[in-house]
Amino acid sequence: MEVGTEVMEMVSYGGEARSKALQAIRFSRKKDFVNCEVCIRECEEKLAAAHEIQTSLIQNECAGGKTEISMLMIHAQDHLMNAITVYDLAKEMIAAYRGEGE
Amino acid sequence: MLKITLCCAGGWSTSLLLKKMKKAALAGKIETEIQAVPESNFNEYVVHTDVLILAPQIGHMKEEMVKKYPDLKIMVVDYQDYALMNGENVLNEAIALLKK
Repeated sequence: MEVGTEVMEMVSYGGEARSKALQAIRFSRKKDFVNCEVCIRECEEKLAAAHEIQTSLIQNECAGGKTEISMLMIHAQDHLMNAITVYDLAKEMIAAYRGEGE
Repeated sequence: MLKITLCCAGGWSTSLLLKKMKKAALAGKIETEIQAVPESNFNEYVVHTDVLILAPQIGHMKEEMVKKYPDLKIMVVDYQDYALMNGENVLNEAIALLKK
């Protein structure tokens, strides 16, 4: 697989994950925890897929392979990092909407 | 003339999809006017839009956009089409949506 495709996959999976996390928060706000759970699962799946690509790129570099650092690659990292942050916060907010205490 | 506007957070990754879609339109001899803009600027492009296509990262905004622009056809790009930058699929989906 060429690097361009891998990087675009990271943008796409990361973006989809972020979107699902935000949808999950909205469902939990409406007390629809069934759909909230579905969105969070989908978010986790997409995050795992994006992370897998990132890991393979890192492993490749550790093994001495060269990775081309392009603006698109930096953009993809940005997307993934953003998605992980939104996911982490989504979990906290959903717990709060569920009325879970400490 | 099919007027399509692609929206993502910064208008950056959609500009890549834009190229692929233009290519597909040219190959299929479909008359189109396609542009990629950041979501925050979209209100300036409403008049140039029949179909609004949202990138997966702002897919969560679909409901909000449908409410805001009830006359537009609005869709979210499938994340796999986005990952593979499948301009042809996205274009066909937009055309199908407009015919609905």
